[in-house]
Amino acid sequence: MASSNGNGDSELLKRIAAKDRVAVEVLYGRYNVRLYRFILRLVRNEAMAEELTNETFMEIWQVAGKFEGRSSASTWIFAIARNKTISVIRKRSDEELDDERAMAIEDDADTPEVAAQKGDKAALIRACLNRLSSEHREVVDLVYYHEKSIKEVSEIVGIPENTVKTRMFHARKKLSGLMAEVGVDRGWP
Amino acid sequence: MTDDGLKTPSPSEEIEMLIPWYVTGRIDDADRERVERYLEDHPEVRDQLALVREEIAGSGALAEELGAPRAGALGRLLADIEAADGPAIARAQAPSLTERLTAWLPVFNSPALQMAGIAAAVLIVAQAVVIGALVGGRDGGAQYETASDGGETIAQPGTRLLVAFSPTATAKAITALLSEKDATIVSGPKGSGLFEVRISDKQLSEAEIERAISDLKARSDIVAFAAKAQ
Repeated sequence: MASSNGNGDSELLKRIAAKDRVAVEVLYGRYNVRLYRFILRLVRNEAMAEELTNETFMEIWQVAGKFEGRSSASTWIFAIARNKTISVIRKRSDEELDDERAMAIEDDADTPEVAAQKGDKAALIRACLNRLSSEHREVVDLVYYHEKSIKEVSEIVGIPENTVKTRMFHARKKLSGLMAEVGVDRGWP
Repeated sequence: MTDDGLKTPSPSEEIEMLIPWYVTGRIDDADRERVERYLEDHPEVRDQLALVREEIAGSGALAEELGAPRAGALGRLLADIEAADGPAIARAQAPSLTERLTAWLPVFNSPALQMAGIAAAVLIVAQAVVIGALVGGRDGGAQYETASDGGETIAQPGTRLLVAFSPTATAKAITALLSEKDATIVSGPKGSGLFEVRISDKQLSEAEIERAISDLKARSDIVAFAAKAQ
């Protein structure tokens, strides 16, 4: 999923820079769900994710003229969303973060242990993906769900390309390790 | 866990690191060739391809569980834009009905969107968002209207419907349908394409309104949505 209509997105940004409101509606249609999910994964709060999604589109509305095409439109849009989100996360108090961590644990999904007992491998993978650190989850989401290249992840997250590769590699190793902890050997690493 | 200060990866690890992108197809040609050569020499590593596919499926399923923004989010965004920048079109420069329709419709007919195969889905979803906000009243937030809408509906007697036109409907077809039904657009487009349409100067009965809605919906080549205006 998540393939982007690169040229079309760039064209939309040009129209948005010219204050074409229809263009921002179309861009919204293309990106709102993906951005919302990307942000929600980071902030773990639906209301905040909605607000940040809205703010991302507002910023796109205001600064679309600055898009120079050095990166893809999609990468530029995700980078705006991420920067806004990280900025908000950094401002949050420890107390808020503790509450959110508690909420994150209150998940309807099976734990790795329960999924392993049921023999539900797909559920087990989901449960273990949920246990990855946010740093690892972010890169896994960008690569697998948002289908970003190494270069694109590097530009969105603001880390060197080699770090993208090693971070993904270690996220996958950690995933296998979490599965091994509940007795499921993936045969790798 | 950070990735700073890790030991230098071995040549085989360097290749294995590329496998996720090899599977998603988001890899450059040189790296793809490196991976393929490595897989030829180390067939046992092919097992990793299946592991990555499992991980992709799991990641996708988790993302789907996250849902989507609530109905009305687009309306709120457009309201915020209007609050920041002012009305889209100054009242003194308000376009004619035909101009309003033709300004909206080319978006649906954009070749780029058709090629992407998403135009209809995007805009019908966008319409649904606004329909949710206007008809269902679910979010209770601000409702977006363009500058040319304001005040017009209050002074209009008779029976009115909310109508969204099909993404493929032309202005000519819409105008013909309105003429055939002796209907008049009194405001819109609101948000993502809903027009308020007066279908009679008189207040029709509920049964007559239902019949009128059915008649419009039967023209699915032109009408994507019709409901009684609140």
